[in-house]
Amino acid sequence: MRTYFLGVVAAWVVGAVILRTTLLPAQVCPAVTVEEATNAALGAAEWIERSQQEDGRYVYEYNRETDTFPDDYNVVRHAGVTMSLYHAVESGFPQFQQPADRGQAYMDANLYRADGWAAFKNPPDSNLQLGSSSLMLVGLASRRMATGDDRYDALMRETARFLVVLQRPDGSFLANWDTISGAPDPTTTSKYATGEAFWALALMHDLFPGEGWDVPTRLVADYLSTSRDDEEGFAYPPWADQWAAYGLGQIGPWGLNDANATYARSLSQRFGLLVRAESQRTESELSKKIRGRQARAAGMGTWVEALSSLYRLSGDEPRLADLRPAIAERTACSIGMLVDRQQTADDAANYPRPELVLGAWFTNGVTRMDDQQHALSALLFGIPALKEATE
Amino acid sequence: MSEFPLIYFTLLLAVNPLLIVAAMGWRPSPLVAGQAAVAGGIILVALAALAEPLLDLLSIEAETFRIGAGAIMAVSGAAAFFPFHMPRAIPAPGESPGPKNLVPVVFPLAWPGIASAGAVAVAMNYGANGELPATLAAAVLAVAVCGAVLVMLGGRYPFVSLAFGRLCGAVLVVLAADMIVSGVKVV
Repeated sequence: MRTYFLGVVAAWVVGAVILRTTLLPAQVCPAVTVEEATNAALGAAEWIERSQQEDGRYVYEYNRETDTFPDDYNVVRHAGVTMSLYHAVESGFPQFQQPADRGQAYMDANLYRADGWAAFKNPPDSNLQLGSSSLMLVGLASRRMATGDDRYDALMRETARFLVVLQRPDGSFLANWDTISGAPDPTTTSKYATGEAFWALALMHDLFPGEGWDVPTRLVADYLSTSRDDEEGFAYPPWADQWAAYGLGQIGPWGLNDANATYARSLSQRFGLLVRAESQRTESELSKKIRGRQARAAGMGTWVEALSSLYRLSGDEPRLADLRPAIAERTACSIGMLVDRQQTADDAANYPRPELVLGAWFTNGVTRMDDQQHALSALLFGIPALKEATE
Repeated sequence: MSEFPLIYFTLLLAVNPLLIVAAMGWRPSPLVAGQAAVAGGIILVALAALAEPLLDLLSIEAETFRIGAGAIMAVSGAAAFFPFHMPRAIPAPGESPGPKNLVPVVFPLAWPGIASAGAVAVAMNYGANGELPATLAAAVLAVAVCGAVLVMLGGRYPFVSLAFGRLCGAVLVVLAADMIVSGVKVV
């Protein structure tokens, strides 16, 4: 009997330890205030500004351990970083308009025009990517809303027309325009760019109602809601698409159909799970082996961007209203993690270029400009949800 | 109390009195069965009531615990398919369980027999997820039914009890899968 008792106790203890280390580690959501989140956003924006070069581009990647800059650049991320600076301007920080406009000037200098449309081309190969033009358009829309300046209105319409040129009848988009053949590349789609185009076109309708931008927007919204995950072959739908969430948040006031609302709910669930799982990760070797390494800011930032948009949507869409408190809680948790992992002045002082460490997020010693981009937009847009969660 | 039927059904499957009957192989007196049911019920009720502060202490959110609870239920349900026997240390029928043999009633009959790992997981899960009153009521009813089943079927129809006990285990695995999916899908 004694042996049996000890065996049962041992089985329960071992089971509890296995559960604790695998499925149920502690969830850590660092407490954060609105002021701390705002300061973290400013720190990220200042990093982007400090990293900007003469031609308007930014430091693409920096390894603080080796003090090196890989020779690489990505125009989609350039457009995204510039967009995030415009988000800062839109959020009440006009000091970032100058660096944002310098980033835009680089894109102005690399435009490709044809048949009434314009696109931001990739300088090395003149490739026209849907993603880079979409994010440029989102940035310009943000600039327009922040400043009321209409100097880019014509370019915005031209760029939106480029997006529509790449749209297929089912609402999906081709990802590239081939400048050699003078036609869209029929073989390539992008899991990112479709959602980016969705958001950009939704903004166009909000800025220029009556021009018909809502038609392609609705088309892509339905494609994303009903077919995209199958078409792209995602194994565990919904794919965590923060751009689609941005788009849904933008069209929330227009009214969603059932498919859009169902998709928005599933996205909320997916991003909520990602945040809960991330809050259980630590830097310990055991945690890394069992649960993987902590997400980079470019990843976690996208979750907050998505949750912030879905939080906004839950205020417009009654079918999602029940999710609002949970979304706010997850947003606050991920903002806490973002702020907690940002490099401080003390951290930065230990490295050869503290100016490229301060305010940034590093993974394995490396930061990439979109780490700061996504974190910046996330922190700025996440503040309303953070307010609700902390009140 | 809208979730009461589901909680009660799940708890009863997790307690699985038919499997206990099959594992015991003999018939307990009403007094022994009653004491075991009360002891098992106290464990389940206490853990359901304390689930929220316990999970807070462990920094686990109720939504996340749902996945772990589902995993425990799945293992508990699957365990029904592996033959096991309780040691013959529980008072014989009609024997009054005095201090000497009260311990065997608590262990292994009440724990881990009635308050099995699966039943504890179910009680804590629903207790922490805003269904405490329904969970407490379901726990009391489930252990009462369990006590009655032990008295009525103990020592009889062992093969039938084992077969239906395993069927209950299989249904519990299905409910566990649903609970895990629900834990994954909740925001």
